[in-house]
Amino acid sequence: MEGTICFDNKEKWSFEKEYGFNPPRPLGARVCIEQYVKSEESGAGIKLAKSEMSKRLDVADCIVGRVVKIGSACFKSEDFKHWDKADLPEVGDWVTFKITPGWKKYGPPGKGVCVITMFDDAINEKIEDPSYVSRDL
Amino acid sequence: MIKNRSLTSYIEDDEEEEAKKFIEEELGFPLPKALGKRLIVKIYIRPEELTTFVNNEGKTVSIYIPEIYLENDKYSNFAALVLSVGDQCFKGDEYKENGPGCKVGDWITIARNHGGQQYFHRGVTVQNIPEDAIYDVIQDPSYVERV
Repeated sequence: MEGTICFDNKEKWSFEKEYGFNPPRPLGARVCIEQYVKSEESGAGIKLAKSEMSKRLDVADCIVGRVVKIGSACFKSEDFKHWDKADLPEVGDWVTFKITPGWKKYGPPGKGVCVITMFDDAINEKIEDPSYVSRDL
Repeated sequence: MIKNRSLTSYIEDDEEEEAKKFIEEELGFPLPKALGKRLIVKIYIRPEELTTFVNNEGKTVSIYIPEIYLENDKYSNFAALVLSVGDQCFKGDEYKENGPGCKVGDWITIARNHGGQQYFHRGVTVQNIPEDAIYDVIQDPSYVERV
């Protein structure tokens, strides 16, 4: 999903409202994150069609996404003890995370969204706009 | 009022027995029993019939998934139905607020390489998995596809 900025969670975003079905419900200290899909349009408005392979590589390389659902034990371990509460991600926030395997398409046929469930400590930071971040190899 | 002591499960408290009975009826045998912190889950295999439609000649046509693909589901699918939950499951601190992570009858996604053992139980493909091999509880197993 291309990003509406949700920094500080000013407008409450929800997966259900956006897509019309329930997101996966992660257990324990896991977070479910939706892949950030870069716009296929260039700055000048030219549509750059992506091949299937290129889209797959985008998923494998993805380090930016939106928090879809948070497990009940997330951000409660010792690691997060000294974090400022305002820095903790909430549903709807854009975050960067460590490259993690396990992406899946989730949703009714034809409406699938790329999501991943990862442990809370794989999240690096909250960001203002997902388009600001790209992976530097 | 409907009550659910779990934040993640789709099975309400009063539906637990009903769900167990329904699965037993569908499978045709009593559910296996998981021990300790382990669960027994049935791997989701897609239905053989993919779609049915009426063609231009007015005939009903069904399209079936080839058997080899369905066989493959047994070894690659990571959506599964919970058949049994061990009595020590979900007792740790991380489930304090959540309640039981899942109940019999829930569909879940699992890590296939996390200490689970796959076998046939009365001809049904099941896995015995540790509780921490569960990623999340999902609404419908057909929603999930590996990327």
